[in-house]
Formats: sequence, structure tokens, C-alpha cells
Amino acid sequence: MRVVEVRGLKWRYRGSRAHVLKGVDLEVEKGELLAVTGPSGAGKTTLVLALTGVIPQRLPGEIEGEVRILGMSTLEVDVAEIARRVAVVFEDPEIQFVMSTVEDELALSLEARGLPREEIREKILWALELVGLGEEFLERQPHQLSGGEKQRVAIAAAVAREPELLILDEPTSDLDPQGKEEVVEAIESVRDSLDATVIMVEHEPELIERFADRLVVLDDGVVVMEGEPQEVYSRVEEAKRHAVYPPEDFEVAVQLGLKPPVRRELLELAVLNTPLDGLCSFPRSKGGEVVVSARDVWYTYPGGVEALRSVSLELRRGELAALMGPNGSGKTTLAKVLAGLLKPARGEVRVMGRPIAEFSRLELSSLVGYVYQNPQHQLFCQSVFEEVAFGLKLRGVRGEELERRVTEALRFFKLEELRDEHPFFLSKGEKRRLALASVYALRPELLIVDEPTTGQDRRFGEQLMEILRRLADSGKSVLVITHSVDLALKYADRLIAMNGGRVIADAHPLDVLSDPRIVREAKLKCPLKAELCAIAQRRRRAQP
Amino acid sequence: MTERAKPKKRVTWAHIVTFVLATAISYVLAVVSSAIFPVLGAPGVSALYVAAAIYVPLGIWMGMWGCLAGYISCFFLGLWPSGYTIIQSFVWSWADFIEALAPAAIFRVFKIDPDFSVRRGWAAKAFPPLIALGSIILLLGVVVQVLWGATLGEPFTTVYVYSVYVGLALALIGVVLGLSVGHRKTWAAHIAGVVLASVLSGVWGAGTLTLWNLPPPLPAELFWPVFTGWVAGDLIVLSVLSTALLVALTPVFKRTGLYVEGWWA
Amino acid sequence: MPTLLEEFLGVRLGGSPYLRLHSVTRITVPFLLSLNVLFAKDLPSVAAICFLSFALLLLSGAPLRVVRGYLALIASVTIFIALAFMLFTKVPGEVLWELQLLRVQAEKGVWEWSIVVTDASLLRTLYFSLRILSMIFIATLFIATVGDRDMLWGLRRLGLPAGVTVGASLFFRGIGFFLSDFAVVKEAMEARGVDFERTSLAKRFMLYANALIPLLSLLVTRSFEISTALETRGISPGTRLSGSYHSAPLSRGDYIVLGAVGLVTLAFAGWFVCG
Repeated sequence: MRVVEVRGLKWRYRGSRAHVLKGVDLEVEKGELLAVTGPSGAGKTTLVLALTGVIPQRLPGEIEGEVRILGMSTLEVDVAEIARRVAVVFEDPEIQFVMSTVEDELALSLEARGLPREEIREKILWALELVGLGEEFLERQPHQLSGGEKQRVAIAAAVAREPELLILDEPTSDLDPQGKEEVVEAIESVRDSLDATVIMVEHEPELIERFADRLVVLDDGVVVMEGEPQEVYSRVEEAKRHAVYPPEDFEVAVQLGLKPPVRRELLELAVLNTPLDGLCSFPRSKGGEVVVSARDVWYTYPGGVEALRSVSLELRRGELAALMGPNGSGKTTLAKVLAGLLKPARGEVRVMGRPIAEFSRLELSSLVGYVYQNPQHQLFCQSVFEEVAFGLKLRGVRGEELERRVTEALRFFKLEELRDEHPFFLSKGEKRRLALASVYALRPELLIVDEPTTGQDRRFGEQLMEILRRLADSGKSVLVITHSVDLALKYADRLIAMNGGRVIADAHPLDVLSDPRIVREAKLKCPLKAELCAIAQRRRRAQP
Repeated sequence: MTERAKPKKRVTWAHIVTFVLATAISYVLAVVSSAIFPVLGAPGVSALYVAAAIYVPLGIWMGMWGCLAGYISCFFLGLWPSGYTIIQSFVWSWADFIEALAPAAIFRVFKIDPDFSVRRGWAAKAFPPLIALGSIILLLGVVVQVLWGATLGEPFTTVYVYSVYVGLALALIGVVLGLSVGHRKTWAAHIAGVVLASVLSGVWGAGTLTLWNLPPPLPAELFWPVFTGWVAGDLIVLSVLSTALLVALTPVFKRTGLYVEGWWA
Repeated sequence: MPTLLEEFLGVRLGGSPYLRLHSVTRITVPFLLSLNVLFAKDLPSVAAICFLSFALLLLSGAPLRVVRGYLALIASVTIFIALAFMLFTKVPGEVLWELQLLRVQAEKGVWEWSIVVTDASLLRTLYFSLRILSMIFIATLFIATVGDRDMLWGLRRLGLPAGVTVGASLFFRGIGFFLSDFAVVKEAMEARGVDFERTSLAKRFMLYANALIPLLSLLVTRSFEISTALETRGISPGTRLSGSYHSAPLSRGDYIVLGAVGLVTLAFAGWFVCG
């Protein structure tokens, strides 16, 4: 039985010039787990909204084509009616939590059905158990939960309704690795227990390969590739053109000119002296002058949480350093201390050789630029031009020089054509680039960027890291907080690993990732490439 | 076949959630403003009531939702930390409802489609302080005349006359500059809305706190100082802060479809 | 379950019998007490209400340090009220102290501005101060003993639609969102070079406009995301959600407390009418 039938779906949001969906055809059979992937802006979330009836019933725009879900036409059957049989889990765990406790959150959708008290309680406990959360979570409030826990509650709230169709819209995008792992286990458990058809929008190829029966690639509003995941990924170059990156072992195998075998086979090949030239070339910059240094820095938050414990490091010109570690390890705290946004309880921070306390806020922000994880927090103006000009105007830059510096920054970040656009209407990626451009325009010596690739597709991540690499190569110092080990390995000169408020490793990414103890302690996921290259390195060293 | 999906004009979650979140922001700003910039010992009354910069523009963008946001945030402010009773707070809070209603009504009654785009940036920066200052001087002159000039004559009458001339002159210059900022109708409606909102809400607010309110929480003698502080503060906040927000965010509300032409949807 | 006081100020109450009462009781008692304030027309009655509300506050287990925080507020209010009576009017009574501040020979008479302290003005100041103090105690009793969950479940039991009940929940979530967003936005402005401490008041005021822009942008983004999430859960603004999940009957203690406070209210009403 067909659960989803989409024919020639086109959609244009009101006020938008272009269609987001340009003729999508899609069918999903009962019991199938379909993965949908594609670059950011391809129309994946729009497709999800169309499958729930929110488009076109609640959002103004122009629709063509037909969407039938479980036999119901989304043009005729009300959203509320469709929602009785279809459940959705969105990307951002924060906005899905509308009530004040986990229990109330789970009960909310069930109460709308007028179920008796005992049945509601039963379903709540069952759903919680399914996602790996215990009864003790019932009284917890949103601020007491981690990202992974919040997302699991959202999944539990969805499955408690026992939907016939479950849609997961990038459920792990906004999470740290631990959170991702928790949610993946929850999805596994749900998949095994729930008799439902599942559509999962996802970027992570490993997850797609693990779960999906079939993969659909959406790009620029149309389906461009379709088939079993292995089949789609084996067409590596074509997939990459649509910003779809295959799982790592596929990529590595193709790079080595091999037929895509499994991870274990690749490792065996590495041990058996198969040449890995071309695979193991990584940036290695020794870095120049010290821009910012920290010595024996401690920081404790007002509640008593010791976030930094005796941290010492130096950041140099020409270096791109990746700062990694599990949530709560102190990465953001360290970054803010280095930027002068937090004052350490003990220890010393120096910028260009001078104690940080000697600088005024204006001087310091001209030397150390900080870009936040959510770019919306730092877009203060009503046009792209004004946004980049904001910091410069604070410094008294006016007239021709203002125009020149703003244009230079816009050009560098490919935002020139959007100079008059309101920042609110930029895409996520454009907003990130704008936030970077606004800070870049101040010409800081050190640029600190907090998780710039979270929630973005791999292609955007690569493009952004290339820009940061270029900045480092031009003599700047760049510190990136990231969870992406692949990108750190590919672009960074240094990997600083943290855990429990301490720096536990600070060396070349390959050297750090070769140490299983560090990898375990910092909760890093060691990429296959790193394993292979570490083996090759050991081999080289062992040779006389 | 292309279907122009124009959802029926009805109240949706988008309206409700925007209103609720705006009310939450207004409440927090109300508490902070009344703590940092209090007025003459009247709890909850602030010399610079920043919360108005949220719900007054929201009234222009979303009609009644803005008025309700003003009302509810003030109601809760009255309860805590100002410590008024539920009934006193129920009556008092209409001041903020009126404050958002006045500009919202002007735009809707005269069917003005708000276009806050700025063609002359220098005029946009200059007119708010001129209107605020001119209005405040005018108001002070009127208060002097009402309290003392009418019964005692000179020199209070002279103070009143000069205040009126100076205040009106400054305000008129401000108005002329304001009209030259961009779309004339929009800016004219906005200026009228700012002045009307401040005065009407001041009358209700100060009146219910001091003159009438089952009973009023504060002594009647405080009416004029509270009224003057209220109106002056509102003029400054609305002419400076809410103007900036209207310029920056009207396109956001319009293009996202949150803008409400009517009163509710 | 945390109360509003714990959520706003992080102040946690110790256990007390009052907190074990039904939420309906804990909401109704402050409401009835606040009615009593309306009936207090003289010093003895307002003093009685002040004493009663303070006693209930102590019984509820609310830490006195919260009340201490209000002392500064009460002191300033009292001073200003006193000044209002002394500066702006002359309350008839025995003049205890007088000081002429300004004297203007006007066209039609003399205008004098004096500080006049009479016994009646002092008593009136005391009356207003006690009244405000009572209202503050009652408001504190409310927020110290009622949580947002109590209010939400109360609204549910009234049969109000989801637009109101879920909306009320979102109000409290919204406060949390705003406070954390504001902290980040302020910090982000500092990271761009804004120094709030060393900026003039006028410029700082203008900078707050810049801070409000991202906050309201985030509001719009969040509201769309939250609305979409609610729609896809099958909850529309008009949906009626049953309040049966968290319903529990009133206990004997609830009836006793409600009865007692009800009688007190009637007594004050009688005092107001007949006294």
C-alpha cells in the first residue's frame, strides 16, 4: 500500500520569486524507511511541510500538483486530521518543547484525543522507555535536559501517538556527537518497535546507510537521484555534485581507486602496505607570531561549575586550530576567555603580548573577532551592508573607506549581490557568512568561530572551512570550535581536545586522532582516513 | 493546475505564538525598566518604559495582538513586582492597551499600509528627539498653566506661553522632518500615533494609579508628577526605540505574512 | 515542582503544609486577600491585612530574604509618598513642621511652595505604605507558592482551548528564551566592540534598539517554528485539551483554609460597609 504519493509538486512561498519545489514526484510504500537528503536550500523541509498539509493550508503561497498521505489529499483534509496519523520530529529540539515538563509535553498530544488518564500514562511510559529515558525524566524541565535528551523527548512525544507515518526532519543536525548517538539509538529502537512508515531527512551518510531502505536526493526543488543507499553512493561524483557525500569508507576507497569495500577491509589493506599516497596529505603549518596566549587559566561559573581548569595554550598567526570535545568540556568558555568576553578567575591571558585587561572593548574586538553559533544573535541591522558596517561605524569609519572595507568583506564572503537584502531573509548559510563578514571587516588578528558547520550540509561545511583555511594562510590566526572531525582533519593544522575543563591534547589532528586514549576521553569519532593514515605513518616510522 | 494557496483569514498558531512570546519579552522589559528607571515612587511606572517599544510596534503590525501584549505584560507587572491587587492591576493595565491601540487604530482607520522605508537617513535620526523634546516642553507648559497659571496668572502664564511656542516650534520642525523621511502617510500616522499613545495612556495610567481605581493604590496628589513622567518617558521610548524597530522589522512582519491588515487576522 | 519565585529568582521554598494544599487553594487565597486590600479604608484595617498577609507568607515557608529585598522598594515608596503629601498638598491637621521652599508673587496672588508636615499627612503616608506593603506580601505569597504548572492546569480545568492553555505555557518558556537570548545578544554586541559601561546613557539607549532587532527577529523565527510544530501535532488553537490527567480532589485542609480566608474576606467587607 502506498503511504505517500506526490505528483508534480511545485511550491512557491508568497513574496518569493522562485519556486522552492519545482516538480517533485515521490512514492513511499508501507513499512519503508525512506531517507531524503540534499544540499541546504534544496527544499527538504518544505517537502516535509507539504507532506503534513501545513503547506498549503497554513502557509501562503502557490501550489501545483498533488500530495496524498495515507489516502488523504493535503488540499482537502485538514492538517489536524492528517496529524492524527502522521507525526513529525523537527531539527531544533528547543522549539518542540512547549510545556514546562517532560510529562506534560508527552501528554499534550494524547490529551487532544480525549484519552482516559490511565491510557495516557501508559503510553507516556512506553514511549519514554522506547527512546531510552526512564520515569525519572517525567518531572524534568526543558532547561534540565541536554540537546539529545530534548530530541528524544520530541521523538517520544511523536511515537506516543502511534502514528502510521513518522517523519524525522534532520533529527540529529543540531546535536553534539553524544546527543547524536543517543538519538540514533532511539531511532533504532523506534524502528524496531513501531509499525510505521518512516521518512527521514538527513545529511549524515552513515545514518542513511544504517537505516534507510531507499534514498532520494533532492536538489534545487527536484528529485535528482533515487535508489538504494549503496547504489546512490556508488555514483560518487554525481552524488557529490548534489552535495551528497557518501560514507567515509566509500570515499576513501574511491580515492584509492578501489571498489568500495567495507571499513575492515580497508584497514587490512593499510596494514598490508597498500600505498596510501594522495590520501594522507594534510595541512601542516607551524604558525608564526603568537597572537593570543593563555597561561594557567581557570574559570568558574556563578553557580560553582568549574568550566576551565589550568588551561594553557598559544594561538599563532597562520594557524587554523580546531577546538573539540564533548559538550560541557569548556570549549566555548575557553573561546570566550580568549576573546575577553569572560574574565578568568585565575591565570593570565595576553593578546599580542599585552595583558588582556589593558585593552578597551573596542580595541580588543578589533584584535579578536568572535562569531557565535547562531548567527541570528549577532545580526543587529536591517541590511547586509549595514550589518557589516556596524562595527566599522562604531570605530568612526565613514565615507569612502567604509564603503571600501564593507565591499571587500562582502566580496570575500560572496555576499555582494545581497548587500541591500534584509538579514532576516538570508538562508542559514548566508547568515553565517554575513556574521563572519561583519567580524572579518574589523580585520582581527584572531578569528574565533563557534560551531559554524552545525546544521549545514557537508558542501557548506567544506566551503566555509576553505574560507577559514584561506584566512589562516593569509596570516590570520583562526580557532574553530567544531564537532566535525572530518573537517578538522582535512583543514586544521592543530586539534586541541578538551574534556572536563582541561586541554587533554594539542597537536596535529592526525597525531591526536592516532591516540585511542585521547579519542576516547574527548569522545571523538575517529575518521577512517585518520586510522588509515596513522597506520601508514607508523609503517613509515618503522621502516629503517 | 496552480492553486493560489491563500489560507483563510483566521487566527493561527503563528499569531498566538508571536503574541505570547512578545508578551513575555514585554513583561521582562517592563520589570527591568520599572526597576532601573522608576518614577516618583509609583511602583511599576517607569521613566523609560522600554517594553512599549515592543508592543506598540506589534500593535501596528498585528493589531489587537499588540494591544493584548501591552495589557497582559502590564497586568503581570502590576502583580509582581509592583504589588498591586488583581483588581487594581486589571484596571491600570488598560493604559498599555490604549497605548498600543492608538497607533494601530490610526493605521487601520485611515487604511494606511505601513511603509517605514527610510529615504532620508539624517531626517530619520533628527525628528524623534525634536518631537519628543517639543512635546515634553509643551506638556510641561500646559501642566504649569493648569496647576498655577489659570488661578495665579503671571509669571506662570508667561512660562506657559513660552513653553507652548518653543514646544510647538520644536515639535513642528520634528513633524516636518518626520514627513520627509519617507512615505508621508506612514510617517504622519506614526508621529500622530506616538503623541496620542503617550498622552492617552498617560491619562489612564496616572489616573487609575492616583485618582480612580477601586481604590487607587497611590495618593491623588501624585497625578501630575506621574502623568508628566509617564508621557515624557513614553514619548522618548516611542519616538526613538519603536521607530527604529518599525524601520528595521516592518519588512520582516510583512514578508513573513505575520502582518495583520485587520485586527486579528 | 518549582514555583514562579524559584523560576524567576532561583529561590526555593522549604517544605511547608501550605505548599501541600491544592493548587486551586494556593491560587484562591492570594486572590481573596487582595480583595481585602480593597476593603481597607483606615489604618487599623490596613494594618490587620498587612499582619495577616505577612503571617500567611511566613506560614507558606517563603524565605524572609525575599521580603528583605522589598524593603528598599518599600522605603523609597514610603519616602516618595510622604514627599507627595508634604510637597504637593497640605493635609489638614496639626502642623508639626513647615519649611517654605519657594515663594512667587504672582499676578493674582502669592504662590508658595512649602514642605508641610502634619500629623494627618504622616498617618496617611503610613496608611498608603502599609497598603502597598500588604499588596507586596500577597503578591509574594502568590509567586512563592504557585508554579506555572499550577496555573496551566487550572486553565485546563476551566475548559479553555489550547490557544490559551498552551499559549500560557509558552509565555513562561518565552521568558526563558528571551533572558538567554538577551544575554547572548548583549555579549555579541560587546564582541563587536560595544562597551555598555563606558557609553553615555543616550547612546546606550540607542544601542538597545540594535539589541532588540535580533531579539525580535529570533521571536519571529521561533514563532514560525513553534507554530509549525504545534500544527503537526494535531493541536489547533481551538482544540480543547482535557484537564483530567492532573486532576485531584480538594482535601479537608483545602476546604478549611478556603473557608477561613473566605470568612476573613467577608469580615473585612463588613468592616468596610459598617465600620
